[in-house]
Amino acid sequence: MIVMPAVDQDTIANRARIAADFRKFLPAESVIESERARQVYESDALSAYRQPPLVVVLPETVEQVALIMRYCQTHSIKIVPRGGGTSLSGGSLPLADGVLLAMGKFNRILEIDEANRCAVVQPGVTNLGISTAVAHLGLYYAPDPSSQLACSIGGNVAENSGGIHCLKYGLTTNNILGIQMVLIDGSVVRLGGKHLDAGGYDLLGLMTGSEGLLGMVTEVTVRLLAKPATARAMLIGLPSMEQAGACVGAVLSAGIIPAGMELLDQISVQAIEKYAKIGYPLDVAAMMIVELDGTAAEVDYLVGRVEQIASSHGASYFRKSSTEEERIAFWYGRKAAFAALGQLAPDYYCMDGSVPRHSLPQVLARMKELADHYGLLVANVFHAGDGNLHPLILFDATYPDQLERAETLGAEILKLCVDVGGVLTGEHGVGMEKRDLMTYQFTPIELSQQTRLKCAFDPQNLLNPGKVFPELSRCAEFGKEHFHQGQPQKFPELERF
Amino acid sequence: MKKFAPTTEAELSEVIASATAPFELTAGGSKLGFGHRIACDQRLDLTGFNQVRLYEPHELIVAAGAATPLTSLNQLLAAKSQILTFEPPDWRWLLNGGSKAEWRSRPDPATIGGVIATNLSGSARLKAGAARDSLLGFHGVNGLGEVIHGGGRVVKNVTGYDLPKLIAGSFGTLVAMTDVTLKAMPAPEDETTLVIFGLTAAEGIAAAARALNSPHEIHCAAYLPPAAANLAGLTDGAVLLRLVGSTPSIKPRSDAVIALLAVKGEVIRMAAAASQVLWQRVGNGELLPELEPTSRMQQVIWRLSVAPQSAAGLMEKLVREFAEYELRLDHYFDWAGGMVLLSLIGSPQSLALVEDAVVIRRAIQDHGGGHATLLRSPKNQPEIFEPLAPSLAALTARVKASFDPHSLLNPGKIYGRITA
Ligand SMILES: Cc1cc2nc3c(=O)[nH]c(=O)nc-3n(C[C@H](O)[C@H](O)[C@H](O)COP(=O)(O)OP(=O)(O)OC[C@H]3O[C@@H](n4cnc5c(N)ncnc54)[C@H](O)[C@@H]3O)c2cc1C
Repeated sequence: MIVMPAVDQDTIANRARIAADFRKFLPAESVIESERARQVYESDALSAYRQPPLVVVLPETVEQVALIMRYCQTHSIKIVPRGGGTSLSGGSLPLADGVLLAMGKFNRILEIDEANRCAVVQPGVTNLGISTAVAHLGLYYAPDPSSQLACSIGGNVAENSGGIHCLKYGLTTNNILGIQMVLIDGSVVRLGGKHLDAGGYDLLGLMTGSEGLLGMVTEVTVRLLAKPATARAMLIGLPSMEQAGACVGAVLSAGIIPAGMELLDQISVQAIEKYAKIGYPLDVAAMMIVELDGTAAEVDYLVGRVEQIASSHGASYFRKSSTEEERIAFWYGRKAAFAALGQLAPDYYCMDGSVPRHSLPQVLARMKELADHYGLLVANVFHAGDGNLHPLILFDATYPDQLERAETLGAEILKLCVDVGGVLTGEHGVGMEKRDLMTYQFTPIELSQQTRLKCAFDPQNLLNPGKVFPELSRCAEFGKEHFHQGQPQKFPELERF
Repeated sequence: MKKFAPTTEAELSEVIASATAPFELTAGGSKLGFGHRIACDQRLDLTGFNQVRLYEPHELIVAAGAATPLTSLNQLLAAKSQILTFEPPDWRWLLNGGSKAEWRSRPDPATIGGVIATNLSGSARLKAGAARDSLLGFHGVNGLGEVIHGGGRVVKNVTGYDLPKLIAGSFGTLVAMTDVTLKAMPAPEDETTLVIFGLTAAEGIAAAARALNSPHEIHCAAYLPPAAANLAGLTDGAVLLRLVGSTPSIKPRSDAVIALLAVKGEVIRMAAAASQVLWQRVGNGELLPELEPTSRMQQVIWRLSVAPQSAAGLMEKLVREFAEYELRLDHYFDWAGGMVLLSLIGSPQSLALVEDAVVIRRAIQDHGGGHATLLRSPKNQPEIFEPLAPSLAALTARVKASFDPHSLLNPGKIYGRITA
């Protein structure tokens, strides 16, 4: 079990007062205090964990966000930012003594700037909402998490989310130009804008993937790309996951960067086929989905080359999309994978380690051993092109020991990823879920460096505490010397120019 | 000047941990002139960290000591038909002046660590991302002498804060880097550049936007006013559009772009080799004029980063403003208008009179925002990088202190005053 920070009973006792204070600068309906209404927000997509928040606030303006933040800092009240609530790592799991700062009302697209190839949007706009709004211009926003219907761009920034197309087009961090954010003291700052490479420290890069620990994102400027002229997807059936892994490497080292390259094991393929009836091959041990995009001439040429490479790796099954409907159908199955696998067991636990690609066969074999050892079924659907695994541990939480076994197995799998030179999480974030494994990947020195960085933004540790970092070392422990108005004390006599 | 030249992380850590005064960090020395001078009498020479640690072409990654020469890294990758996609330029002339030909004739001592520390990217930045986007991980030592690893060797990694992003572009003020892990990408099979004449800057940048918003995959886009075009060996001002990709795709895509833009004037289609050389010169800043060796004039060079569609208007305004002084202004646009290299040439007296930093930065704010960075100036200028708003300046100082509380590493390199 993961232990959350000690609950401050005084704050809970003051719930009504705090809510009343918020109503002084927020419309009454934007402050949610009743137990029933708070329960709506009690979990994110890591639904094994539930905790109704102290109160929920739904600001509509940046000024309101700033007032909320300043109020919380003055009164030392914790804040949990929330976007669409689709975090798979418990990133937006509320705290009993924390205000849930929900960005649902920040749902407007402020500007579509075709000539500068960007859009300025509020953080509560959904990922897909952006692409839909600019589709008529032939443009789109590239990162496409499978949750894109529901997740918010603010959440994407906080998690540095990826998607099936990030192999070629990059993650959130490679596709945003600027943000506006509110710091814990209520000050509003802008990082970047419509220009590139803002100069100074890359705080935009730091904010991306910071899981709500450093500030509230209140506006995002996203980069838009032209939709490719054509895209074709291929389904490729292979005799083993090992051969499929090798085939993935061979495609990339031939100099081909597909728009997406996914790998599914037999359990997943069969579950998806049963659920979505797309016509996936049922008799292959592994199936790749490879998408190539670009101009028609280029795509046809590359489809041919991928086919050759796959054949030489023992591929026994090929299907190539010839219409857009067919291409979408191929992907529909992949995007529905979690839902389909959800039919096999009442609960699943989705892991997200990232590994060097060459270690895939070794990792998959060891994972199978581990799964057998814990008596649980693990399905594998993953972003093979970039080595980002999504082992799905299937279990039934009504048996308490199964949740525990699933969590232990999950931890073992993630440690395995670190052991082969990979990392705990490729795109879903550490959240509260993988928090206690951070010591496995980072040295105490590295963790204290990251904690000091957190202190530079949030000295009282009020923003999303209990997430990402195992220990809540207090900033004061790092010595006042370090932070005395940002001025170094060791050589006060030195000229700083 | 005391010099320390550690060759292992442990030695480096000890040097920093036991330091009682700040250091200037150096390696190849090609970009020492970038940023503020550091007033200190100790040098931390990192050239000992110069070995390629790992190159796995199949995994598309390369990890090398931070002081590995960029030229040897490029050669290593080229042998496997791979590249650093952000095409780091050679800024020796931009930063130091003198003769371009002479700089070209000397080997470039730039190191990969210096490229990362300055987040320096070439023309391909437009589509392929900046240096920071290719950096997967680093090893280094912070100002407390602690050995720190950030990021890793995998492309997808959201475990903890993205420290590589913060370290890229931090000008050695946070961590002394010992090792970097970078994405390597397949070199494009083929390329061309379309040179389109007969358009003004505003029209040219708008045309580049139309091309970029089409599915024909434009890789780089620049607009050269006549003077810059002449330096590139072209007869008149022109838009440059670079297309890269598989050989069979180049011609149909070029045709489609020309048709899309309904080009009436002359178009040149450059062969791959010529195209590569041209973009190298664009990225290196070589299309700005150089001073004659005997000239009594002086030169100031700025880099402006702005919203692409504001760039032409901004430059019209700056040309008007600077016309009041006795100065020669040259410029050209890269990154589809988003980046402008600007040169001012004048007598020492006229350059001393002009408040170029103020004029340029005010004009940028009036044209949709962005920032200006001073690359070279004969006179002392207090703000080399865009000055920060007070709350951001305070935050920046706190970030600096979280890595280097005693301000030992390149203090003042970026902002002079706030120790970062
Ligand atoms: C079915 C399913 C499929 C998924 N597929 C993918 C996938 O393919 N790729 C992928 O990367 N992820 C995927 N995810 C994970 C999830 O959708 C992403 O992490 C997403 O970015 C979360 O966005 P959200 O708006 O729901 O954020 P939330 O869950 O509400 O919050 C996520 C984190 O962001 C913080 N946060 C939210 N908004 C803000 C803000 N405005 N300012 C500061 N901090 C904020 C929260 O505190 C929290 O730490 C999937 C999830 C599900 C349920």
